[in-house]
Amino acid sequence: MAPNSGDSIVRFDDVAFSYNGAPVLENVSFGIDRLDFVSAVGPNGGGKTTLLKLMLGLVKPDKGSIRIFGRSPESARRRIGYVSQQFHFDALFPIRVIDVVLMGRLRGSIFGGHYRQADRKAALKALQEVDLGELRDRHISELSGGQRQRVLIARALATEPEMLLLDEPTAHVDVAAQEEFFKFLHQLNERLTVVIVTHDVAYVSSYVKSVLCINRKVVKHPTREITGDMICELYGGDVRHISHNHIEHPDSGSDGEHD
Amino acid sequence: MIEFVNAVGQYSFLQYALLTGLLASIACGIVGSYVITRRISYVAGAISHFVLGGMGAARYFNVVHGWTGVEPLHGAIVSALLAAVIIGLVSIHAHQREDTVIGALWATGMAAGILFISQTPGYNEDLMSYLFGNILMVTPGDIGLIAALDVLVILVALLFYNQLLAVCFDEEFARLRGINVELFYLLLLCLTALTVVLLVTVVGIVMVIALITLPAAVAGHFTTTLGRMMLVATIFSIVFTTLGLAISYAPNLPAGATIIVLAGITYLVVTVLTRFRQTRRTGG
Repeated sequence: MAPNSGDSIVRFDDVAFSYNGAPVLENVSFGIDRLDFVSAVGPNGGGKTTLLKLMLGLVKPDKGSIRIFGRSPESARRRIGYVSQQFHFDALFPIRVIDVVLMGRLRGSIFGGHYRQADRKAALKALQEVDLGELRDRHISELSGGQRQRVLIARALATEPEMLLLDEPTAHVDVAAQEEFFKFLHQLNERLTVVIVTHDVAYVSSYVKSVLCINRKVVKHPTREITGDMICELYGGDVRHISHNHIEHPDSGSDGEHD
Repeated sequence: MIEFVNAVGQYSFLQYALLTGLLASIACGIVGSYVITRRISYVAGAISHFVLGGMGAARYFNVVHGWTGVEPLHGAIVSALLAAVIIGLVSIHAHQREDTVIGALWATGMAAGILFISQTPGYNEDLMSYLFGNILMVTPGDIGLIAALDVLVILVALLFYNQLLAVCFDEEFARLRGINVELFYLLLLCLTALTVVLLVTVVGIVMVIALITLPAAVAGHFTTTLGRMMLVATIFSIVFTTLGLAISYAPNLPAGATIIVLAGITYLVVTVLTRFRQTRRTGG
């Protein structure tokens, strides 16, 4: 029952971006609806990370317009929960799990670093939501890779976002854990728009509602329309053994098939 | 050691030295923890060497041109802040050139200092005391300024603890939460600069980089939060400076060098023991 009422919360219109003169993205136009579950796929160097940075306002497009929640990316970014890649930070840093999650409660004002009782509650709630409430006082180095990933998701959830943006969230987890992970995202998708970026096209979870194919150009498909030909075009040819069986996933919770 | 304890009761210069060590240690433990977690100890090194230029210039204008109000400590504060702002702006606006600028400031600051000092009577004594510390020469006037700097650094470093923590841990995320990352990085560099000035009075320009990093690095082996790291680093820093003074007193050793050797040995021992314990744990 995913509402698809056409109220795009992300809107790219004819966006282009180049890095040191080399075009990274060209003629990019697409929209993402509220409560969509988007998987952005494409080869490394195809512009996935750039697309994400454009959405967050960390880089500016050379041309075209980007509207997030009807506003500029910079002014909308506080409504987005961003989950970076987990090797992004130093595991030896002297910090506990709960302190990482609390960062989601920071505000931009000069004394926005003072956490109130409500902030601590929200952080703990987010940590419990990813099932790590018990580990709140552990040092981050004591956690497994998958657990660290969940801490970063808790930090993003603590911001109480309307959209969750995840960069390569499954890069370090095995297939069984991936399945579990997508189930969890599916639960969050009941209240949040979810966008994940991955270089792994062989696995598109049945919970994903649309696929954004990124390789300089960006093409958006509802999951059921994806064919092997599109993947081949995206990767410029011979990618074998990709069989996406894109059964649109019913909300009843029965598992869609995928290989 | 007993000789030292008796002397402390007797001589005010030793009391000032102990007090200076104590004050500098608090800023050192707090800011040193930021410095090693943000990995900017080389920036602290560049700032401390650049400070020779400021100290030399202040001494030159004081002695040669009779600017009596200008003390080397004033020159140190101004030049340290100047170096911090230059490095900060270069790092923000031209990231890939940061290391070149750090190297340039490091050496040209020293060169300027040497030129000023060479034109000032008392060349050797001044140069040696700036380079290797003169904690036993601290005057009551210096103590006032040192205490004021110390209070400023501690207040700012603790008031913005969560923002500075976020900037040190994950700059990108901090930026996305609306934190002015550039401003807080500049603030961190200025705090580092003022801490460097405090430590220059204790161990001298050349050895500052060790005193700002070693107590925090030792503390890092025992602590799981940045706040506790700061507390433990402060305690270690107090122990190093006080014990260093005490050990060096009777045999008339240079105090700064003694403090640093003490800190270095402690760091080595703690690191080796921690590694040994880890290997035993994972091995058995």
